[in-house]
Amino acid sequence: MPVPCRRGCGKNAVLKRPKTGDALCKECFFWAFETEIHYTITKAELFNKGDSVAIGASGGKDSTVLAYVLKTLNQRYNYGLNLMLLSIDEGITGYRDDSLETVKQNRDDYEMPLKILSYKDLYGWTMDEIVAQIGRKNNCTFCGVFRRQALDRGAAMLGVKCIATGHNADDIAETVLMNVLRGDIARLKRCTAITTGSEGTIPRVKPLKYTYEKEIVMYAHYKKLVYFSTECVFAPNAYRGHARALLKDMEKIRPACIMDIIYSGETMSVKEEVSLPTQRTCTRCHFVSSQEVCKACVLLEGLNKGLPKLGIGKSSKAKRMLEEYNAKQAENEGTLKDAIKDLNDTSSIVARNERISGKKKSANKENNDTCNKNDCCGRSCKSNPSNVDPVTSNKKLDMLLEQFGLDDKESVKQKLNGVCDTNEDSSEVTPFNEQEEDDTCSASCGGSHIGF
Amino acid sequence: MNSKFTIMAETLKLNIQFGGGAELLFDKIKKREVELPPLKKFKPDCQSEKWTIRELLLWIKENLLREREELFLQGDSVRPGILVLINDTDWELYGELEYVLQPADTIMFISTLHGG
Amino acid sequence: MNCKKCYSPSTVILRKKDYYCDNCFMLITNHKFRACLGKNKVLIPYENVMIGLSGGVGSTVLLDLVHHATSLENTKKLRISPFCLHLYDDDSRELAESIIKQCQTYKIDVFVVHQAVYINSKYELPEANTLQKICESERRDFKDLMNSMPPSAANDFLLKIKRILLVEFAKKINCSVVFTAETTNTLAVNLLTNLAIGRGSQVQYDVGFCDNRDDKVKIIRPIKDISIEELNYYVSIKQLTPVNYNHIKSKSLQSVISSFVSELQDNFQATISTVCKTADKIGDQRESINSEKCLICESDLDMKNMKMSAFEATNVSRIVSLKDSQADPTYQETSDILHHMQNNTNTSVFPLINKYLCYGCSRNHSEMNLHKLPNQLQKALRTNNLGI
Repeated sequence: MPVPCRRGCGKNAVLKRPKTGDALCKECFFWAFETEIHYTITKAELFNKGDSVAIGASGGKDSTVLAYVLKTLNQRYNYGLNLMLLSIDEGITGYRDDSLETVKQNRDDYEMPLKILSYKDLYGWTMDEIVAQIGRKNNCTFCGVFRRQALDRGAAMLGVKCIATGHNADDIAETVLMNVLRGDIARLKRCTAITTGSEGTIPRVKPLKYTYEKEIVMYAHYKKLVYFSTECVFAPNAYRGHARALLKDMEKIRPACIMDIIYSGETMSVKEEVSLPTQRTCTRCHFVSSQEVCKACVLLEGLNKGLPKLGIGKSSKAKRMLEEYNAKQAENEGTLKDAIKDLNDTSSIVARNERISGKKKSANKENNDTCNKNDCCGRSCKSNPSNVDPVTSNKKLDMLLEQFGLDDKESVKQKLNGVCDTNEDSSEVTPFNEQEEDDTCSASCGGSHIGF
Repeated sequence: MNSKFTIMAETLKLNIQFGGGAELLFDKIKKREVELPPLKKFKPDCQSEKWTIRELLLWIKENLLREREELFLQGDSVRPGILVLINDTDWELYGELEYVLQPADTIMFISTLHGG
Repeated sequence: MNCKKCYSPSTVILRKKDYYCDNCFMLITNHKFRACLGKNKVLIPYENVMIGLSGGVGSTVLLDLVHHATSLENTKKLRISPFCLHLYDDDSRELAESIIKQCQTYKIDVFVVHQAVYINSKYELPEANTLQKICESERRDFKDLMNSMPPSAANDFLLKIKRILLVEFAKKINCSVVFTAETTNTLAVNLLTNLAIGRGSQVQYDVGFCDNRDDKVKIIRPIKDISIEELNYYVSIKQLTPVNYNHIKSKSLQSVISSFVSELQDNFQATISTVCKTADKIGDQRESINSEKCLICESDLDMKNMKMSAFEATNVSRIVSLKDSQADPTYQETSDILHHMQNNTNTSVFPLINKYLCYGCSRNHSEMNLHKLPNQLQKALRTNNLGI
């Protein structure tokens, strides 16, 4: 028997709302869905009138619905926002190249400018190339770390006030569970914030924070929005699956639990004695980092040095690798110098660097220290004397890396001591300790790890 | 003629659709027209004569599902995170597994488990 | 393999890799129990302590540990006077009988209280070492109450009832401290469950070492650092006889989380200890400041000031899903919705929240049959409601 719409419009309901159990017809659902997001945007003061806002667009369901709804609400309520789409091309054949077509369709359908930034341009490596180097086990670390920074850079180029991302209620609840399972108290504390971003970065906002995935998919379906839904070709190895599977099993039993988990995260406090890592800026690229050298720089340096696993998982491994590397270096110092010189002075790289810095200079007027941007990418920069000599720069890098290795080792040790009384290799015993940075792969494949 | 009519009446024609990535488990085919045999023929030990979603899932598992069935099914139902629409309406409004299939019904499975 | 402490042949293997002999293992386990009590410094010498017994492995070992520690004749003697309490229901009479026997072997008195006394809030101390008699109507009303809600809410509500009963009966025998026997496994499950039912702000009471929500009675968890694996060894070495009785209703958040945690633990040996370490870092250090308390679980009701919360989002969701002929279906301002919410608390998903109930209890309340609530609670809610 058809169920009547709870709003009393006389039509038959088409869905049961997971948050409250109320049944609504299609038209009332559209209205309720949009009005709730409007409420969230205004009540949480996500935007100011006249802001330029970049929508992190992956072509998937969440960002497609976000773009559509923001455009609709912007017109309906006169937000006066200047909306644009920002996409990151990780360089994953058969996945991102296809989904970017969907984003281009969004650009045309919603009449918004689109900016696409590629890993290749920013870092000199595509994900395909990275996976060829490191295999499929830890590629999501690279992807996540690089994307986080890439979005920041793209937003800086576009000169926007904030980045809106498509994280939905399910994503947030899942992240809460995941942070508990991997014992990450610092991230547990901040993962439910609707606006994130520290000094020096462009804030991220999550207008869909209270919107269920079920409703997003139903909305896209009834509105006939086109979105891209193939899993990342590298994603089957990803690690969010456990938390996701648990969340979906719980939602089946009590749909409201997703909201309840978010509420738990919002109202939970952390003991003062718990020291949270201090945010500072990376000494190399000047992006926000919890370490002296940010994860992106370390990962990139590993790639460029032929030690791609540097900075992944256990830092004891990284240290061992560095030791081996240094031993080798002492052995063949001459040859290595030449090799590094070759690597750093390749004219094509320099040319590309200059092209990138040129772009950045024009787009990002606040930061005219273009050398640092290049430096971040682990390449030499001719205008920076300390980096001209490949040998000097190499030593400096080694020092930084060593420092990073030691720093990190300390913190991991502390963590481990707390967890077990023996020094077991935690990478084998806990499923969630491989990631060190936020947003690991969450923008485009966060929801897909138990997918197809 | 009479017996022929009975056989015709006992098969059940349905439209089955897959979306949101669920089609990847079904040869990437999004829309199918299927004809279900009489339920007694498909599942002789079945108490009822009427096809419900519960039996339809079994039938799909045996006839359409190509790979990794655990990504589509869990226990006797769909895997949590896959939405089911009965004639474009949420199956939660129609008793989920217990819904009795009617001729020409459209049953759609949409995965929410894919990237966004 | 040999014991990692004394190099004699090992008999105990923990976490698939740590080898001990019986002696060293027992020493370590006793030490964990004493260290947990010692470092938290809540016990005053010669205090009356009530031990809440469930009959399971944890409570069997806790009782033995307490007995052992109080029987010592040296400086390490634990100076407390123990009493036991067991809460039983109609389905667990045999369990209750065996718990009485268990306590008799230790010569400790046990009070066996029927859970249904909650329904009339009549907390009279029964005769020690016998099953408390209960009248038929209380028994029936209690059963009806528990059956009037879905399994997840029932599991949670029962935990809260047991907590209240422990506290109330502790007061009857002048105990200011109650010991309960949660292990690392239970606490890992309880942490995830607390999050899943909106009790994130109560984690330190429900999962931490000490629940001091009550002014007079503290509930503490002295074996919270001991895992079920260790307890099983303890039980077999000392040849104890726990009686297992699983009270968790199936098809609930609790049952799903419980099997999830055991599965993950099988594959990743650090799962539970990691989750428990997380739990230790959650919570507010400050003392609660005379705020109103939840009528069911005694948690503080003071709301954090938030611009927007999941609680508000749920209420908005309800408002926009309701019949409202006035509203222009294409345009609605946030202020209109706010106004609406304030004037329609009776249609809210959380009708009594923040005045009488916390978020989690309010969620349970919304899922139960209201007439079945204990009289005293119904009365409190009614009187308070009229007062608005």
